[in-house]
Parts: sequence; structure tokens; C-alpha cells
Amino acid sequence: MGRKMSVRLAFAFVLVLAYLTLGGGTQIRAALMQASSSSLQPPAEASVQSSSAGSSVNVNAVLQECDRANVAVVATSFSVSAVDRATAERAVGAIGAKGTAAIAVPALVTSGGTLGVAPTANTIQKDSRGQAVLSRPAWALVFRGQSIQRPSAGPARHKASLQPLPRQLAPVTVVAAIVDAQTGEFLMGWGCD
Amino acid sequence: MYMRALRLSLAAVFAVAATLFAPSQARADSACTSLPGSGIYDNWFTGGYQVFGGTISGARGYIRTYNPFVYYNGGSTSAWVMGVNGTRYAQAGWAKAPTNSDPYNPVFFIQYTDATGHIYPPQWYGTIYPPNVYFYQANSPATNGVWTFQMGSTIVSGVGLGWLPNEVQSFGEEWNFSGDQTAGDRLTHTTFRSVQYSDFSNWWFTQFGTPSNPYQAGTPNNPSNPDRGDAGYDALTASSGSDFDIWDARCP
Repeated sequence: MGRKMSVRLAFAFVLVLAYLTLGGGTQIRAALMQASSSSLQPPAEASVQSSSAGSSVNVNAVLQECDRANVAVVATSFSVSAVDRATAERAVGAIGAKGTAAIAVPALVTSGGTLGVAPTANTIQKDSRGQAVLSRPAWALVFRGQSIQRPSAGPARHKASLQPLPRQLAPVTVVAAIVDAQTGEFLMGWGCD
Repeated sequence: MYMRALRLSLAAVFAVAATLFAPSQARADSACTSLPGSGIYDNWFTGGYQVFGGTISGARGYIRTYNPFVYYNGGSTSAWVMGVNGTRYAQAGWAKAPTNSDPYNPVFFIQYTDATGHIYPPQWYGTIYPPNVYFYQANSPATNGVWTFQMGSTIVSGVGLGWLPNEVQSFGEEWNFSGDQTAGDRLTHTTFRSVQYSDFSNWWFTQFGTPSNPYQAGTPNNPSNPDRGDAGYDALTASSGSDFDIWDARCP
């Protein structure tokens, strides 16, 4: 009986492990994270201000003209970082940035999905693998003097129309970016001008 | 026997997990490894649109990710869904930017205007990992013009733009006439599926491709520029008014 119970427990462990590993774990991990932290406020140093659509002012001013209220960037130093500055800068090639960053700060980054509002448990941004961007060790970068093509010019002209749509397009010259300091993954970027 | 079964089960779990979580940089999507660039820059569009008599709340749909060749000098390729009202727009999709060595996968992006038509700077999110198809949405669920954008699991909400759309568009787009690959190739199309709009209460499938709003392939923004569809670059097939494929016919 005892052996059967042990085997059943072992299989139950495997099933739980499989569930946690294969995606169902995302919600469980998130629930555990929320349970351990009543509210996912950014670090205390990262006081923020609200704003309308577009950019806003973070009093930390780590990213200067690129600071945003919904991205808390707290400068820190890494004890262990698998990704050096040059590698992080190259990762921002994903959006067309070239060269050396004017600002490159090792930081703990918390990003929320509501523009102009500090991140909370409900609005925390997820990365491409569904993991919360919460006090994430990252490189916070600002590139100036760029000429980055916008991903889109806006609406398509209807083919029957003879007139081109008016455009107000100029390349983006200043961009900020956040790169995961452990994996080198480009997490996010935004134009600042 | 039980322990052997346990070991096998554990091995299977870890093997599947390792496959799912392994990074997949630079997938071999790009059937075109190089295309000749051109001095002609504009915006060329392949996809569908639908105009409504009144306001709607936004657009959504499923778009396959593709890693196209993009011209190093000012090129760009993207695929997106969009709410439009005149010169005002709000969109969510993926985009591929050029770099010197061109090694990167596409990233998610959003871009929008305010009620005056002022274009805010773009925002880019994440490196896109498999699966290949993600859900995209640009929507103002209430009538107050506060928008929510979604790309896969990435959600950006509370974006107060102060306007509502009366048109849905869903397109692939290029910036360099001959140097940018349309999203997709002859074998691997970029698919747009279940493109929908909302009347604030329900989501409805779009009716692209009627005589009044035909599907279009390679339409330039400026009519005086060459048409990429006529040039044999941009191609499109549709199976319904809300499901279509696009690709670059030059790429095997």
C-alpha cells in the first residue's frame, strides 16, 4: 500500500510539474506572485506622475527626455549580468537603432500596461514569454541622433482614390529601450520625439 | 516498473519543456535573402478595409508573424490591424526594422494619433517567440475614446486619444519599393484571420473585398509611384471577407 501511495504521489508530482511547466503554470505563478505581494508597486524610489497620451515625466529622470510614468526605472548595479552594455545596445537593432547609446543604465525596471499610470498587479506588462516585467534587471538605454523608420505610415490609401493621404512623417531620432540583463532580450522601446 | 515509468514521464516533461522554452532567434522564414533596393520610398499596402456609416470601437484579428528581408537603408515591413477616422488612426501589429546585418526577428508595435491627427512616437514591445500566430487588437471599448491595444499577451491600456474610428483596416506594409520583402513568401504566406470590428456591443467579421472596398495588393500611398502589385511583388488571396493571405511573389 505504501509503495502504491508513493508511486501515486510521484505521478501527481509529475502532473503538477508538467502543468506548471507547460503554461498552466503561468497563472499559478502569477497568483503566487500576487499572493506574496498585495500590490505590485514600483520600488519606492520610483515616484511617478500621471500624464495624457504620449510621453510623461518620471521624477527619477534616469532616461531624461524619454522617462515615462508607466515605466519605473531604478538605477542599480548588477552583481551578476550575463549581458554587457555592447550586447544590450546591439539588441536594440530590433527596432533599427544603431551605434552607441547616449544613456546606458543598469536598472531594475517595472513596466505597466496603462499609459501614464504606475504599474499595478492588474496592469503589469508581460514580456513575450508571459513573464511580468517587475523589478526586472535590465539595461535602460537612450539612443540619440538616430534616423529610425516608423513601423507604419498610418492608413492605406483606397486604391480608387487619386489623392495620396496626407502624412506627417519624420524618422524617430531619439528612442529609449529596455533590454533584459540576463537574457539579452529586447523588452520594449519607444520613440521620444 | 513504476520507477521506470516515472523516469520516462519526467524525461518526456523536460523534453517538451525544453522545446517550448528554447529561444527561437532568426527563424528561417526569409525565403529572400537579398532584394535589390530602390531609390523610391513611399508606403505600399496589401490587405483590406471597410468603411462604416457611423463610429465603431476598433479592430482585431490574428496575424502570422513572418521574418522578411528588409532593405538596410530606410526599409521597413509590417503587418497590422487598425482603427481609422480620416487622418486619425490607432494600430497594433508586428514590424521588422532594418539593421546593418539584418539578424533580427520582428517585434510587436503600436502607433496612434490623437484627435487632431498628431502622430505620437511608436512603441515597440518584445522579441516575438513562437507560436507563429498572435492576436492583435486596437480598440476603444467605451465611447470615451480611451483605447486598449493588445499584441499576444502584451496589453497597453488607458490610452486616451479622444476619438473613435469609422473604418477598419488590416494590411501588410513596405517602405522601399523593391528592397523590402512583403510579409510572406510563395510557400509561407502571412495570414490574417478572423479580422473583426466591434459596434461596442458585439464583434463582427469584416466584409473586406466587396466591389466598394476591394482587396488591394501593393497600392502606393502616392498614386504617382509604381504599384508593387502591378510590378509582381505584392500578392494576396482571400478566402472570405475577414480571412486573407499576403506574400511576396518574388520570394520562392
